[in-house]
Amino acid sequence: MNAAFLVSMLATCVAAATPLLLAALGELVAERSGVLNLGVEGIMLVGALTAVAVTLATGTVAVGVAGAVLSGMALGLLFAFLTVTIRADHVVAGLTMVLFGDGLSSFAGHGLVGIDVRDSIHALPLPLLSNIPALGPIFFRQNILVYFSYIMVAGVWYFLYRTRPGLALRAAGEKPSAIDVAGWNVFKIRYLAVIFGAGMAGLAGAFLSVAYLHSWAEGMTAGRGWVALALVIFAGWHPVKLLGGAYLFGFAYILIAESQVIGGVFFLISTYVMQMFPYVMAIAVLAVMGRESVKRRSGAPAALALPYVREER
Amino acid sequence: MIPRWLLLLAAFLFSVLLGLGASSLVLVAVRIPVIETFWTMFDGAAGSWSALESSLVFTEPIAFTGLAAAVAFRARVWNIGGEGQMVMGAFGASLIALQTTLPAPLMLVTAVGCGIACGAIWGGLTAALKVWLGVNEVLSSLMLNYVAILWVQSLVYGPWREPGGGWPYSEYFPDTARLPSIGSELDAFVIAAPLLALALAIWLRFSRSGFEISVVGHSHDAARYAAISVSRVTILVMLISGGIAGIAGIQQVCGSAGRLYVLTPGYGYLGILVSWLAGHNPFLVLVMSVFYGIIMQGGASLQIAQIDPSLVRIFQAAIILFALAGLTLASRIQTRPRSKVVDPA
Amino acid sequence: MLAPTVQDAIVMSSITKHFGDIVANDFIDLTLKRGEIHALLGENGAGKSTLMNILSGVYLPDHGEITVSGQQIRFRSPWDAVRRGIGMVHQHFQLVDAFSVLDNILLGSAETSLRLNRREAVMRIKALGQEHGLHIDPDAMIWQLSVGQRQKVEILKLLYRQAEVLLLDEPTSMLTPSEADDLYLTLRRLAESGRSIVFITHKLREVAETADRVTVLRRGRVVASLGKAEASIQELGALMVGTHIHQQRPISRRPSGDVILKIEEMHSPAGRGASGLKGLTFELKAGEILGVAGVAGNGQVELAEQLAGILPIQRGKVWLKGTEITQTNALQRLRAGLRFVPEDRLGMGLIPQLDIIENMMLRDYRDQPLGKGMWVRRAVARKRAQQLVHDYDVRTPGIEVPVSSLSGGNQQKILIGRELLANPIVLIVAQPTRGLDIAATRAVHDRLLNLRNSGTGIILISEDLDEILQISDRIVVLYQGAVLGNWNRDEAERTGIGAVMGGHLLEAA
Repeated sequence: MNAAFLVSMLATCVAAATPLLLAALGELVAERSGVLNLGVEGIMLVGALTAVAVTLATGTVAVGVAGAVLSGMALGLLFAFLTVTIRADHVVAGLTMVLFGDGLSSFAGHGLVGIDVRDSIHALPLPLLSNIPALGPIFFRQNILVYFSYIMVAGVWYFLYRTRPGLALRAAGEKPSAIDVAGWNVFKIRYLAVIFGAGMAGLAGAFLSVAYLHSWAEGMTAGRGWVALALVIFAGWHPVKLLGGAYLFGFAYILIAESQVIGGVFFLISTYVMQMFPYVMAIAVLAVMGRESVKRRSGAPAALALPYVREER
Repeated sequence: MIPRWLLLLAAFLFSVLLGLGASSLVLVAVRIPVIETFWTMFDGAAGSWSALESSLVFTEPIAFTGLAAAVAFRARVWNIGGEGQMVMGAFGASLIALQTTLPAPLMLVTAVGCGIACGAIWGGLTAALKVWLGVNEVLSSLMLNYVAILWVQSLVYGPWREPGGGWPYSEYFPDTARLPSIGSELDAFVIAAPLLALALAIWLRFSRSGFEISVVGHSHDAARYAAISVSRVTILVMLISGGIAGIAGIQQVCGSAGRLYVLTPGYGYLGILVSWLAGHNPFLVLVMSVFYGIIMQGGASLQIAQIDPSLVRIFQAAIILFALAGLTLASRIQTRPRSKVVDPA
Repeated sequence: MLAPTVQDAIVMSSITKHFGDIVANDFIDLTLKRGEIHALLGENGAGKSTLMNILSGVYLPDHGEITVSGQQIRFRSPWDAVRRGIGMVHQHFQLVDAFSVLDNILLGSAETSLRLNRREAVMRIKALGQEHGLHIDPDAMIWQLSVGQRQKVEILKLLYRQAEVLLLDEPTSMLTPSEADDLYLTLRRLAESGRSIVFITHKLREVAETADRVTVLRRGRVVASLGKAEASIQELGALMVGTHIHQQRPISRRPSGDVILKIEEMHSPAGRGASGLKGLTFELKAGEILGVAGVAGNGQVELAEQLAGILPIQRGKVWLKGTEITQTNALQRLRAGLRFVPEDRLGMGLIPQLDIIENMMLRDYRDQPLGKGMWVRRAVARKRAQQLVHDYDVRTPGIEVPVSSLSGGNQQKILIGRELLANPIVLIVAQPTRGLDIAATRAVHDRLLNLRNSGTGIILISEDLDEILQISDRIVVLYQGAVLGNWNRDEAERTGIGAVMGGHLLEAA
């Protein structure tokens, strides 16, 4: 294994991690506002399909990606309506959304399975940056959606920690009554957060279908939506840690793929054990946080999955 | 005042109709004949005894995972881990079936016992994490699902893989470890399910621990007042719930399949949805799981008729979405207390 | 009503608010002058919090007007009040534990800029802190702060958004005496800087030492509006509880029995709007009703729940009939005959969604006759429920309706009846007639008196002084977690007790 191989493998890790990163970033924002959206997997599938379908129909991948984001946002609107306005159970609504997304995408994508998406997103090496030794080829010879994911991490971080609405959003997930009195509309905040999260999930699905695997297949997300949920927990609901976690998980994905090539019983067991890694790590993080979360230093948002009821006037 | 159960029933039926309606719109949009499609589904699922039998094949595991979810949710413990507990049940039974040579009937009994134990332990893990480390059970049980699934995958792709076979299946279990079959497709557990439902119903309503579960599920403060330990009840409920979900897994591998494989995903989650629709009532869980089995078999029959079976997942989801909205709204109408106690200090 | 002058920061006239049948505020007039510290004094149920909630925009009045700095205003939401410079510090702080002081203050500010300018905000907060003596590190996390410090954060929040009128609801209920003195100083400085302050209290000393004016409320009405030193503490106490002669229930004289319950030096920390317990000591004799008077938040809930075994006793000892029971749990105590009717009827005492039969089983389902081995016997519970409904004349369409559909009075009958069925040796009842009408109240009192006559010792914890005076054999006051005073039935009179409820200690006799 020489340096060149390592570099190219790491570059693939970044690409593999991107759908996780995008979906998890969106879910992070939603959960920070107090809404648990378990439906990420289903929304990603719908996004993946929409991207392929619209790209094939219009011939332009940009429109396809836009369509995927819009489809995600539409599902997000539905989910927000159920959980924020009707105050239905978040868990049941989320699981149903997975079912719905899975069914909808399989049904609508019936005739599109396996078609190669010609106008897909190609790599876009950045002028100066891509020539930095080692880091350049890994991070800066990616496609535009990957660059977008870098920007989004910074954007979400800035929004949550450096802006007023971001502060209010975080408070909505911790103690919604505190901001209600201060004049913020908790419902509006949660709606927007959920729609954003679902839009990102749609985008993640689009990446998977038009920029990574270049076609549509039933169930192609293969559990990545669930890994994204684990990722949010693993990152302690913090966007920068999310970036690190996503790449760590992406690395695990690629390692698994590589070891399958090498083969052998030993590697096969390790493969699956490695795949457990995200989930076990998430539980470990929860367990450690559990001890500290009595003081709520870095635990789950305090008001997560609790519908907000405003008192009568 | 309309009795509550009637209101909820009406809400549910109305939701089914809306779900059918929404699905019809989808069919019309893609120019698939609506009546023909629904008829194919109905006929293939309930049009004959053999159709019903096929429906019950789907019903069986869902009934168990549904009952499992019902027990947990009654104590307001959000057990999302039915999927993983089911898989661990399958693993436990396979462990005995493949790794030991016990004589009948000891073999089957031990295999079932081991499967239930494994499911229970898996459920107990979630409870332990919650009670001792304050970990949210939704998140931990969800994560544990995938750990369990991957564990079984590692076995059937690895050391337990059928020698010479290309597919991820274990060897067939010896006959002593197989469930006696009933009819052409079903196995003995199809009778066990209603019996279990009955036992659970009796236990939940008439036993001390059943009462404690009800109290804990309604109000932790009242539980303290009644000197009931919420932690103890949480652990108990998760052990039982995990064990019952494990039965679903045992049924899948010791039934007509006869060997360990990567179980069809989703039964665990469907059990949660079914239990929710059934208001966590054991008998209604049976009813709902039959209803669900019919829908799923309907989907399978579509495939034979060259119509895309994933339509049925849209149909399922549409029903549940409408039911979720409708039942949530309906249950709020009746629960407002007559005298609102407001402290006007 | 004097015509509003320029000096009036706030004028509230004829404010009326109903909650269903209850009149919380009954044509209340209140004038707040600029730079004034105004105390709002009254017992529970007097209407103080409602009035302040109206002023801060949380509630809409049914009738009446509010004038702010000469302009008549109609608040439609708390945000309207904020924009008018009115801010409230609630008893339960509206702070996000996981955030820093700085973030909490920024959250409540009225600025509309998108970006958070933290550096500038830190400087402003530090300056405000300097100016008003509120020294808090803006980068500290809320969960690290003490109650007194958190309160300072709440005040800083209001000052940061330039509130001119500050409303505080029972601000010293969770503070230590030195923290409270600190607060009085802060309030005085704020008033001197031109701000107007209203604080709700039931503590007479606070009123006497800190307030420029005091408005006393009783049962939703203003009974007095006085300037500093216009009334003595005793007079204030009398105004707070009223001076009418209560009608004592004629009850039979009984020689007091033996001491059946002894409590010594119970301590527990303050928290959640209540003062905790501080060295609580008293005794209960068989066949007597011991009335524990006091305004809510002085340790009533802690006392009741610790005696019942629901909360563990952290410091102190309890004896039941000579045996120490400090380390026993709730189950052992209820089996030993120490029974409890909690004040939180629907949250703790009953399960609202379950029916009467199941609620009957709540406490005694483990033992005969309600339980047998691993089973509960619903038939027995059903019979008990029917018996209770009959004996207590519970108005209900049936015994299988959810308890939430019954009126408060009937719910209380079930709660008491259930505990009484166990033939208690000691019964602790908390706020038994809260929200009940006269007939239901009388029924409850009848039951309690019967129980007393049969030899049970009863601890009656109540905020309703009338009730205490009517049926108690002996009366003590619970104030800031300690038991004060000890009156026999004959010597008890409102004014003295009212003063003690407000914290005024009697001179040594």
